[in-house]
Amino acid sequence: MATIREELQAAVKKLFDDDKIDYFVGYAEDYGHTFPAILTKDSDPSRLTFDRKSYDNLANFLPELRGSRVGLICKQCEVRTLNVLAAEEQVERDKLVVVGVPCPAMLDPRKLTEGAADLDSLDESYWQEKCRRCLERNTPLADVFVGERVSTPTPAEGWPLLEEVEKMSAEERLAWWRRQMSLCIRCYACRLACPLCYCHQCFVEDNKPQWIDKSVAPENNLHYHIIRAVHLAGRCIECQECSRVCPVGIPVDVLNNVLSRDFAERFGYVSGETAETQPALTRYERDDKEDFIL
Amino acid sequence: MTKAEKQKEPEKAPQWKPNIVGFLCNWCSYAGADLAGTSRIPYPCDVRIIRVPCSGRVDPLMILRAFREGADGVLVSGCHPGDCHYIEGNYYARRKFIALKKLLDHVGIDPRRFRVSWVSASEGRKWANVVEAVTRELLEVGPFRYEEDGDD
Repeated sequence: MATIREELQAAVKKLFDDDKIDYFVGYAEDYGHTFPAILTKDSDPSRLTFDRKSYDNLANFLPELRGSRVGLICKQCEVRTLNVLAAEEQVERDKLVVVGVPCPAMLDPRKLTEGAADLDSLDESYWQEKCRRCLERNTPLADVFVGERVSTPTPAEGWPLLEEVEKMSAEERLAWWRRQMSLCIRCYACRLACPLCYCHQCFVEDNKPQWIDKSVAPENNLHYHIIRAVHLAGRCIECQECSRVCPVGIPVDVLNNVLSRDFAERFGYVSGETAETQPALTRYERDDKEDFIL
Repeated sequence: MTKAEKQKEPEKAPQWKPNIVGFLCNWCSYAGADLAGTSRIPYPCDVRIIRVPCSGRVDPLMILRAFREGADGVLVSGCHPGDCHYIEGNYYARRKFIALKKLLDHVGIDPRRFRVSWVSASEGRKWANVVEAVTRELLEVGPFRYEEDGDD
């Protein structure tokens, strides 16, 4: 990936030199890890990189940098996030410079063993689940494109873990979720990593009224995760960052997938498909199916 | 009283009654429930009614909070689609409830514990029927608790 790295660094340097951007949001490599980095004009662009461990959804930083001219690396995940943020008027598209990259499919850190060989050669079994479902590997919205375009394999169908959970009976599902939720320590990493959780004050911090008990009883944790899923209903773009960052390994995204799948069937739309796609809960149809109403 | 009769006694204890929290829209369902009362229509008295300005006011947070506070079931009732005092509040509410319902089903909470109905101000009879149906269902489902036996 030496070339994409160099191309990227040159492109960023040019953006700063031409005074197109105030900040650049990308990935830097250090100590064998790739992590998000925000660069200014004076930063050293030689730290920038893009590899198969560039996990973080960089659009997460945009609401904070609102008002500035920002350049950022966009994978498909960021593109869909950008579209949702744009629909919700959280970003100003004309102030953004989207740097497109050919996404080589991100690796699942939980499947990587220490000192794994050549990362570029790892096959599908090491991919993150979302990457198998990816619709377009080359950034569609790109203003600048670095690297060589890659072909996108046919997206995989289905939601493996969700379907597995759904095979259980209602009692088993409740027990399964209870077990998962008993692990939750409410560190709110899922909320922090989520690019669409940008509220200044989250409902869990409210104390008048206090909607949800702050102690880590499994019921409280379950309620927190259910409400988070409701808040992301029809907005979640399935980047699975919530699950990736979970320190205890709860597959948080399964709850979001329940709604993503249902809304796709019910309302026939995919969140973040275009910047005009309004989230499902902010609009309605007069003849929405109401099979559950008495 | 013989010993055998004494042992039987706990079974005669008053029948368990469900705790139902009802979120009723001020303009239709609350008036509908009022009409049921003034028309002297008998119906189960297990619903604790909370009056809200519109079914669109009902946040999924309120529903989960009700469960957390000991409700066995939650009933949300509002104006029929198209009749909303605020024109479109119940349309938005409907979508919200679709999401919440889907999630509750998924995590294994009995779908009969969370019901939504449309009751207009003139439908006192319907309100009585809805409450009756919900109560009957909840009697079948039983008390709501997360804990499995012997857990915690």
